[in-house]
Formats: sequence, structure tokens, C-alpha cells
Amino acid sequence: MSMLSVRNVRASFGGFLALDDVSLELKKGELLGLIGTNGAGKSTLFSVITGYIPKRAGSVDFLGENIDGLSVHKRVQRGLARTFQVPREFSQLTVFDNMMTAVPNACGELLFSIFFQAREVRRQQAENADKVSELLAFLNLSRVADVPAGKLSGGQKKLLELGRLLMLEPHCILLDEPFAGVNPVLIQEISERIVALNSKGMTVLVIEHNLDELSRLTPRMYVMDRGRILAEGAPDDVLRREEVREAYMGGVI
Amino acid sequence: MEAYFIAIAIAILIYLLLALGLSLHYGFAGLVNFGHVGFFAIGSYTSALLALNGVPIPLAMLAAVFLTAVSAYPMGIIALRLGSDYLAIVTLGFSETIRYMLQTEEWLTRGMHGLPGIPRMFDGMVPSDQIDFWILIALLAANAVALYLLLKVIKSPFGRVIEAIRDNEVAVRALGKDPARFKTRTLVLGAALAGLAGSFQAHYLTFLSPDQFVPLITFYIWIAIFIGGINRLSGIVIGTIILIGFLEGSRFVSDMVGGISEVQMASVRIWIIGMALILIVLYRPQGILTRENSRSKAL
Repeated sequence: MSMLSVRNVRASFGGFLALDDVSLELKKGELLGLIGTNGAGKSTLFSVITGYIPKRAGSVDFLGENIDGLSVHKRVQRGLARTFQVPREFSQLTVFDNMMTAVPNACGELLFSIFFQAREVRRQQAENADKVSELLAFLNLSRVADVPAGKLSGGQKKLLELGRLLMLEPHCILLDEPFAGVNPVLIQEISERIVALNSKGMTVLVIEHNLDELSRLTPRMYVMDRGRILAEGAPDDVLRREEVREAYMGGVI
Repeated sequence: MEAYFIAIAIAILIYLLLALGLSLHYGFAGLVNFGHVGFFAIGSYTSALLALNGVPIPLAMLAAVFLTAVSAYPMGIIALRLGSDYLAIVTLGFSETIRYMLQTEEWLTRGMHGLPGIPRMFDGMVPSDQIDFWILIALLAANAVALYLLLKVIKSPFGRVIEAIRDNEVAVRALGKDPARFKTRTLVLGAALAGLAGSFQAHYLTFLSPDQFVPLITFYIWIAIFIGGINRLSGIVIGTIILIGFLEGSRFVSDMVGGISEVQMASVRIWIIGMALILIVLYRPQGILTRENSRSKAL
């Protein structure tokens, strides 16, 4: 069963064709990798899938339904969530509040409820606080719960972003370079969390340019180069192909 | 002397209502509103015109708050699709448009002649020499209620989302929330406070003219919230007291110290404010009462 299906997508910035006829299939429950050099179009593809950047042609289906007409937040509400290459934490809010912000449809987001359903707001807050504590423990962030997110290390911010996504209880998460700028210990930790989530049934698509990490993490991957999909398959097979080695390593290896 | 202090206190409290609204806009939601005085003007004129046409003052004030809030709504829809720098220009344009309308729509506002004889608050209810005192009490109550409501809003999940928008709007969208919805509501709420301030102004001064609503007023409010700390409510209170206390109090100084003309004093006043602002931005960019990155200290 298909979770996400991208067909013949084109996108351009000015005259530059950033995505050239890109197609990609992500199955339900899969842990899929997307690899490519800088500028290959990986993040652009994410942005097209999630609705941040308009595309010129092609279509994106999510859970069997076309989502081309939906705004960014509507796509997230359907269960398609993403992180960013450069972490986008709410820097002045604490880690705990960063997580609480993610709660979908919280009753206290309505001004009316704040004043006239105060009890219900409090009840929900308490319930969500428990969920946040649980997730922070899972992500090993409990110690920094009360620290402003802006003061976290790069790796902790990546974990926090992952945590915020999990608060949404999405069907599918797109992770944009979860290991970039992260120290080796945390890379290991983030890796383990991703695998743990996937084994619980979460569908995951990971962008990475770190070959080693990704080939260890995902059983199947796509390779992108200059806006096109170059190859698809198991890491070992894919990396053995001539055109991939040519594009990715300049033919050195 | 006592009357003079009451007058200063009233000025401070009217500005405080304005500053609390702007703090919600900028300090908490990051909305660069350079047109706050426009909401102030709408509130003032609405309340004044209604009262002049026989509507009881409390009702006129209520209507003023409501209409000001409503006036912020369409601006929200237009402006909130824009980045913060564009929002600044749109809001400034908005407030100037309002001022020009007050000048030119003479059939309604009497233009530059101004609106005289606006019914005074508490007129006939208390002895006339106590009216100012009671207006002061009413303003204190209004500010207390405004502070309480703001604090509640800021500490709620709604408040958390607008602070998240201030910190990173793109990420808020990535969490499935529509920032425009929250920003519109924030604009409306802050504008309502400015409308309330305006209606107090109308029924206290009993005379309104368009030149009371120049952009300088907006920037005074900005200075007030910068002095105290943009997102700490106690800072807003202190900043407003310092700024307006100084602006109004310095008139008093020029009366006492001979040899300084009113014009010279006005220049000195602006000079001191400018200097103070530069020093604060240099040495205390977060304001006098810094809020150390924690929602637990919104007050």
C-alpha cells in the first residue's frame, strides 16, 4: 500500500530546473532513504511534497489522495510531517513548551475556550504534558525540558524537532538531514530513535548526504543528482552502479 | 498640584492600554505594527461620535472597542500574508489613511476643526471637581482587567502558539497550524485595547482632532515598550510610566525652572528620549526588565 506517491514532478527557480521529472514511491511502514550531493534537489523535493514550494508539473498523492491543492498546514493535518535541514526550534520557548506547541487542535488555542472552558483547557494541558514528558524521555531530552530551545546543541535541536513531529502523531515523517551538524554520539542516538519509530509502524523518508549513515539505516534508497532520480534500490545495489558512483563520488571510488 | 498628578496618571494609564496592545502584537507575536495610533483614533472617534449623538457613554465605549477590533480584522487578512517588514509599512499606511480620513471627511468628523463638546465621563454622576479622579479609578480598573486578560491569553496554548510564530513561523506551519489565523486574532485583540484607550481619551479630553493621532504617538508607544522590555508585562508598565511620566512631567520642570521656553523644552525632551532609547538598545536590548526566555515570567 502506498503512503506517498510522487509522480513526474517538475519545479524550477527562475530558469533553473531544480526538479526534473521526479517520481518516488514510499510504501506504508517503510524506512526509505533519499541521497544525493548538495544541490541535487532533495530538500526541494521535500518542500514540494509538503507544499512549501509550488511545482510546475506532476502530482503528489498521500494515502491514496491527491494533495496538490492543499496548503502546508492542511497537509500536516492529514498526517504528513517534516523536519528541516537547519533546525527551526522556537528559540525563546523552553523545550517543554516547544513540544506543547505542537499539540494538534488544542482547546486552549481558541480565545473563547481560554475564558469559558478553562477547566477543559487545564485538563487537556495536563494530559498533553504527560505525553510530552514521555516523548522527552524517549528522546533523552528530559534533562533539558526547561531550557530555552535556542540554547540546545545542534543535535539536541534535531531531536527536539523530531519530538515536535511525534506530538502530531503523523502517519509519515520526512526527515531532512537529521544527522547534519550532529556529533557522532548523538548521530547514533538519533539513528536508533528513527529505527525504533519505524519498527513501531511509522513510515519514514530520510534525506541524507552522509552515505555511510544512510546505507546502514535504510533498506531501500533513491539517489538524486541535478534534479533527477538517478537510481533506486537496496543500498548495496545502488551504490555499485556506475552512474551513481560517477555522480556521487566523481568516479573516484 | 494634585490635579496635575492625576492628569499625568491618566495620561500614563491611557498609554498603558495602548502599550499592552502593542506588546501583545510585537513582544509576543512578533507583529511589527507601526500603525497602532490608527486603532487609537478609530476608538476615540467612534466613541466620541456615538456619544455626541446621544448614545450613553458606556455603550459608546463598548461600541468603540468592538468597531476598533473589527477594523483590525480586514487589515489582518491583507497584511498577514506579508513578511514583517511589509507589515510595518502597511500598518503605518493604515494609520495615516485613518488620520487623513478624519481630516477630510468633514461631514462626519468636522475635519481639522476637531470635535468639541464630547460628553465627559461621570458628568453629573459625581461633583465636577472629582470627575478626573473617577476617570483615573475607571482607567485603573480597565488596566487591571486588561492585564489580567492578557496574562491569561499569553499563558494559554494560544499564547504559546503566537510566541512560537514570533520565533519561527515556518515551523509553526510545519506543525499543521495556520499562522494567519493566530496573527489575525492577536491583531484584533491588541487593537481592541487601543480602541478602549481611545474611548477613554475621547471622554476625558472632550475634544478630538486629527492631529492628536500622528505617527509620533505610535512611536512613543514603541519607545515605552522598548524601555521596559517588549514581552514582559511588568516591563511594559514600568516603561510606560517612565516615558509618559517624563514627557508630561518635563512640562512641569520648564514651569519651575525659568529661562527655558516651551519650544526649547520640547526639543530637549525629544533629545533625552532619543538618547535614552539609544542607550537602552545598546546596553539593555531586552529592556529594563529582561524576560529570561521563560513563559513562566510573562508578568
